[in-house]
Amino acid sequence: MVTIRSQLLKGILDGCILAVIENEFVYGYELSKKLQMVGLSDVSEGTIYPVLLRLQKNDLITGEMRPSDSGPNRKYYKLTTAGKEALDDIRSEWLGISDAVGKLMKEKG
Amino acid sequence: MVIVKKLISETNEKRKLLTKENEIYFDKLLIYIRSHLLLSERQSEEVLTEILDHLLSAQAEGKTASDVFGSNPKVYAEEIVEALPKEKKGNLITFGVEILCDIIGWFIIIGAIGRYFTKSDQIYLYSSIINVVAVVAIGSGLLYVILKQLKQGAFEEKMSKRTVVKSGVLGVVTFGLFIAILYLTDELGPLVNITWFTQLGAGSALLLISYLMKRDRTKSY
Repeated sequence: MVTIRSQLLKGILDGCILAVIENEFVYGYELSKKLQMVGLSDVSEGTIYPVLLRLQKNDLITGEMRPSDSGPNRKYYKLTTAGKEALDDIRSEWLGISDAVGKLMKEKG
Repeated sequence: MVIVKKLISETNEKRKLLTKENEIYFDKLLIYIRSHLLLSERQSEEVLTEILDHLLSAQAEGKTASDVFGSNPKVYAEEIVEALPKEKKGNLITFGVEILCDIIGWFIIIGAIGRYFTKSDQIYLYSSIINVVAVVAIGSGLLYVILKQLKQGAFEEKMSKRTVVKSGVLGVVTFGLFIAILYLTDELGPLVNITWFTQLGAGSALLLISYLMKRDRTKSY
């Protein structure tokens, strides 16, 4: 079922993923845990992989497969310069929108 | 950089650790993604590794593949395929030439062995060329059909009766077509002197080229 929440999240998920990757090198599983930890628990875990592929295709992030400390190969992601710029754009747009929408939504409540 | 060959063999091993239910789900993704030969092999195998590792971790937490990737594997697999980049043109061409050398090489070698028994030292030039073209055309046609069937069949629980019959008919028709071409173009063009041994050498040379190309292609993998 498509909930209102998941529909709202759809547009900003790329930004959320970029924001996590900006802070540290992460691999997929870790990334999904981080998203859940900040409260985006309803982002279905698998959704991140098509997004990660798309972000790589658009050169916003790069992924490198390398052996992890605990053994298995893991693909660690980091932002490219273009990715950093895109994140900055998304960030300022988001802050503007959330500010404006916040005002509207508060008026009634 | 981890080499692709290693990723493939690890994925093939690790999927055995999945529960039956999760394995069925993962295998559908695997077949569907791998049957897209025009997509980047490295990216395809990397994302399969990520998905499998994620699923194994989730499984340890008591989750199923449907919990993690959604209840419809087909929708998810299509999302992945859509997001995957295409293979580089150069790589595709080299891969194509490699397969071509392989097919033609084996065909020439089998022909050479046949001629060893028939003791003929001459071949019909045009017939031979037509036969090689026919083998390549029929071979590529079959490969296309098989890949298409893999993509379609990946999400069917069981091969439908229609598919079984269709495959059988296709096999018979293809074989019949090939025999018919061999028969109809039996004695065309000038006779050329080539001993069976020279032919064997030519075929072996093609196989060697194909082998070297493959070694070179997978070296940096």
